[in-house]
Amino acid sequence: MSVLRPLDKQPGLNTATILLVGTEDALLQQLADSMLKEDCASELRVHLARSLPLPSSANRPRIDLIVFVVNLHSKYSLRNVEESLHHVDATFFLGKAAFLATGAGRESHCSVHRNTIVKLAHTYRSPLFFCDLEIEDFRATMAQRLVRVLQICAGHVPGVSALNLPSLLRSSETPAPEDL
Amino acid sequence: MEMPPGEQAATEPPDSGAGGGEGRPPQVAGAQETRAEDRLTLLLRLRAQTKQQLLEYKSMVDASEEKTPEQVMQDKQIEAKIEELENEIEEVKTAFEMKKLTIDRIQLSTALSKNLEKINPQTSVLMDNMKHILKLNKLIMKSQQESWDLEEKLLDVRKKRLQLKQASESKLLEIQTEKNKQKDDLAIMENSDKIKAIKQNLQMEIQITTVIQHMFQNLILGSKANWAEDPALKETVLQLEKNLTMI
Amino acid sequence: MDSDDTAESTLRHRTSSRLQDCCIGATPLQKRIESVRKQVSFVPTPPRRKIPQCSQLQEDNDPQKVAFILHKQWTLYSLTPLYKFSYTNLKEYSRLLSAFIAAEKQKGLAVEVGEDVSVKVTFSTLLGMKGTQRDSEAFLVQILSKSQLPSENREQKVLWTGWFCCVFGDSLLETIPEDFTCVPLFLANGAETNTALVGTWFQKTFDCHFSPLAINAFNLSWMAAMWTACKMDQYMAATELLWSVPCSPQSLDISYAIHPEDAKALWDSVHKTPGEVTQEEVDLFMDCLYSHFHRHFKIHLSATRLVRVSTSVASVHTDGKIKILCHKYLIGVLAYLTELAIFQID
Repeated sequence: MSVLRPLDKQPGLNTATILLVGTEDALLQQLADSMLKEDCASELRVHLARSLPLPSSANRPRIDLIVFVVNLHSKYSLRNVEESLHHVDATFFLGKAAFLATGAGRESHCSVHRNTIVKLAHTYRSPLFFCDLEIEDFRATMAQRLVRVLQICAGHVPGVSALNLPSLLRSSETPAPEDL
Repeated sequence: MEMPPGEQAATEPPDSGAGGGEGRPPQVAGAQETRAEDRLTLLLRLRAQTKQQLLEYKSMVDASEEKTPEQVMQDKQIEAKIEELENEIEEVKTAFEMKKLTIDRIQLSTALSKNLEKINPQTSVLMDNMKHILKLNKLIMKSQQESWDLEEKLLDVRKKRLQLKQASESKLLEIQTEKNKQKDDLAIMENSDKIKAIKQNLQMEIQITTVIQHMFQNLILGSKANWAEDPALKETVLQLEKNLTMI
Repeated sequence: MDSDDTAESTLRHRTSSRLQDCCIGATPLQKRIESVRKQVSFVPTPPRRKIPQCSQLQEDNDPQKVAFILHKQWTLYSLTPLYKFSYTNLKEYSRLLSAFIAAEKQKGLAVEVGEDVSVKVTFSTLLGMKGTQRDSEAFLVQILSKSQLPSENREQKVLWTGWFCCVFGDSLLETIPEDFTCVPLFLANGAETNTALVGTWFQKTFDCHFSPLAINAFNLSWMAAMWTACKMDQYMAATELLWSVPCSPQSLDISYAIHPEDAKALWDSVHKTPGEVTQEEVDLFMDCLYSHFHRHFKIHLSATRLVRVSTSVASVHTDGKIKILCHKYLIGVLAYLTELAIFQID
């Protein structure tokens, strides 16, 4: 049961690694494809996992960003993410983790209330993105965004650190968690 | 809550692709172009990257080595420090929010203008909306102007009322002083020597007259004449009955 | 897939063990987060609701009309407040709406208002169908077919029925301007063309807007829990939940029927705060059902979508179709639907 820690390995030269965690295999795969299509100066590596912890045997590069994908249509995907969160070191939440909620567009299909995921993201002080991954355009935009965030998390953007991300990604409408 | 090992193996693909099997191999993309002119820029970028990463590691190391403030400072000092830091954070937050709002606005206007250029203005709903908004804005401005005018008028009326009030107040004050003056004059008059002398004289005269009256009365009564029969005499006698101090 | 009698005990056992799991499985961070979560409550929707109480129907309601509402399938709509609607003008509205429908049905022909037409519309109030005094009175609209022969006038066939109501809506609708009447919930039974016609007329006349009220799985699980919690003298139907498995191309449905007494027993083991239902309890209740199902069939129901809940109280489908079965809890059911409708129009 290894806990995932950030910065525990040496970074690969010009590589940025993202880990997508979620039960929606097909959507994750599509998102990964969209990300790899993005034009990016760094070498991208996308790892997909259904849940955490990851097997300790595998030789994997340093993980720069974890994105937890929750499908609002399925409670199972939320439970799965909640359980996976136990296997992540707290320091990951200093800007190197994010939540992605998909399926909010079809309100009538939702099994998970939107506030539940907002709350979850708040408690972990991590940014939350809403995106319907089933729609290609939205997915492409989200992929672009994630690539940018990943580059920052991997330290490929001089002058900006992952530590800045939580405050930078906070939208002005939702108050900071400490204000609540 | 642990997952059954079987499930875990099936769901978790080997990450690096070394294991192969049924897992999805990691996908690699990006620029591996090794054209000569690109190499320099690549090297420069890598340098910047490495610097940034080094900085991050350093800050990480510093953060974990840093002594906890409790060990160094007293309680009160800590509280003061916390307050100071909180204030600082608040300031930075406000500044940041302001900047963000500005940037948001700039971004929005840029996006809007770009969109407007792209879309055919005749069919664009956006254009219609903008026009509508402009119309509404004009209406708002007009209404505001009207309300300002009305407010100004109201102010004028109020001013006039105030002036009138002030005027009436000063008039009342004048009347009051006039009255006081009269009162004072009267008091002064009453207390003057002349008046006193006159009063004394009057008193004396009244007394003399009373004595004379009584004398006449007694004279008539003493003469034993029936004064009641002669109307002229009767009048005279009754007149002598009058108390002069009452006049 | 009826659950057997042993299901109940296993379910109960699962409940307690799950509770323990929650405590043991938490990392320190999670624990701290839990405590933070307790302090932080910024959910706009109420995290707790009252269990529908026994009949709160006021005495002055018409039992015939209530009976008429029960056991019918209604399609739910939400409705924005009506502008300048007046309860004294119902007769006038009947006349106007009849004329409107007649006009729409024979488009192009001139129609005289009030003249003999083939359909007749009636407006009537449903007295007592409300939660508090401040709620607007409910009213019923019916389209009747008018027989051409005067002798058969008595037997009018009801073509379409719709009714408007507001139950305990006042706490959620604090600021309604004076000229508006708020009846956020609209229920229709009959041909959809008629619903559309009536909707158009209302939109034109009272400047309001109708929109279908779909009920998502989240709210369905609330209903499942709240209705299970209702005490019944006798159960008329099994508690049945229907899940849709999101697999293309054809969808697969899973039906899960439980004996209502077993369901009640499970609920009682989950339920802690008397008279109230909390989000945690609803989640726990559903989780228990899920884990029970998973134990037997190795299927994660939580990964599927709840589409229908039917209990002895009412039966509701995610696409906004409801059938209310129990007279006792009518007001409670309507109160929750009103709440959902108000959230939709907000």
